[in-house]
Amino acid sequence: MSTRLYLLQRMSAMVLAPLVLIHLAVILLAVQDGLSAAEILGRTRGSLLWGGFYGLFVVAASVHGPIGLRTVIREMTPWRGRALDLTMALFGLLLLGLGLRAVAALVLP
Amino acid sequence: MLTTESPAKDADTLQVAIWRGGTEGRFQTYRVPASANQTVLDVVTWVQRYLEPALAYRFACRVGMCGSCAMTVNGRPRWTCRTHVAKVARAGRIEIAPLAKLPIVKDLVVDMTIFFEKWQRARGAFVPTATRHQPTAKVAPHSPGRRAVDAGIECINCAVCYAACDVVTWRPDYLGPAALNRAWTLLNDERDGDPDGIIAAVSDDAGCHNCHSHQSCTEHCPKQLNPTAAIAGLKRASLMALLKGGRP
Amino acid sequence: MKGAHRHHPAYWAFVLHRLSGVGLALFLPLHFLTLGLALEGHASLDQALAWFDAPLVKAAELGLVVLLRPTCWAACASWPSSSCPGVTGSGR
Repeated sequence: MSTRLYLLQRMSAMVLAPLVLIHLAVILLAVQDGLSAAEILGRTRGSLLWGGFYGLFVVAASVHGPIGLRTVIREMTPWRGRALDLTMALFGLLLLGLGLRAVAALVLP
Repeated sequence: MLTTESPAKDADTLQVAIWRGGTEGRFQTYRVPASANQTVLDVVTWVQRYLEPALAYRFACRVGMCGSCAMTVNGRPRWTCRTHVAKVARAGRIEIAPLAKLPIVKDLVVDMTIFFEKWQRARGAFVPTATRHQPTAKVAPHSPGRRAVDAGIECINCAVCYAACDVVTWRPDYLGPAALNRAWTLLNDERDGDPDGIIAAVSDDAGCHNCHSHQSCTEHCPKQLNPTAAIAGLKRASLMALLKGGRP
Repeated sequence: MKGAHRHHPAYWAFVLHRLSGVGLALFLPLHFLTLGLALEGHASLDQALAWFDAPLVKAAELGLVVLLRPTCWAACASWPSSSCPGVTGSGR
């Protein structure tokens, strides 16, 4: 399992690296004149591009975050084993669910 | 000429704190005469000869070849025979403790058993494919595989890298840089008969994927080896094995 | 844990990546929930955005954002490759 998790972590990192940089640029531009719902939604509503971009972002983060958190917990606390693995998997599903819901909220007309 | 007293002159005296006891113990301070070109091993030896006959410590060659004298000096794992006092003393003080991450037997002596067990667990023993009745293997010295082996083969199991590794602290079952470095040299040795076995041994929960590439091992290796690079190679090999079909 | 042997770049890259990674992992669910408020219409989201205007929150967000770029760099810096930065092997 270690190698599989390692592969997933590396692959999701490769996806995240460019997406994170683009996201940073986007929000820095977006907050320049203050932030409002209307402004955000004006750009994202009905946009296939933003939907695709942030959908991919959410999927990659939902893989990378829980695997990383699992490692941190195993190294820094006594918690390990099946219970931890399951909890992290559930956390991943939580991120995926909330994330895709947020993407839908911003993109669906 | 034996004496139980150290000279009184402060300017020429070192304050040396040495760990006494086992896991439960304390630092005891000794005053040791300073001299030019003095190594930390010289200091420990002087203390044992003239001040504390019961002090336990290990050394052998005292010339930087065997690795037996590895200890923690001012928080860093080092060979004490190759550490000049002038380089590490802070305002005339040094602190000497046993090597970290290994059970303390007594004072500066540690139990290396687990270190060598992990060597075995990482499949650090050569698996032969030929017998004495066959001609000597012809290995091209400049082949990429052989160069990878040569880069790591000089390890003398001193455990300095092991003591420097944070992941060993956080994951007590982690195989560690030395064992993984050895596994990498065998993986690249074309004469070794079981490369799949090596990949399996280094890819489990305690294996190479735990390394975070801090490179503390590489920073501290007294032979200038690069276990981080070796572990990176094992990670690649392990991924390739997975992608090619199944194991690990 | 003694720190005397940890003051080299690769270690700090790791620390940065770990701190910001954990920070992000904890922040993301909140971030997603906030954005999901758009489902309820502009007003709800605007209300939440106003809350996030509080100085302490802004500072924390800025911290995360500022850390995000070196996180990427740090993570890439520890990418296993055929030659690692730093001391090379004794290679003959």
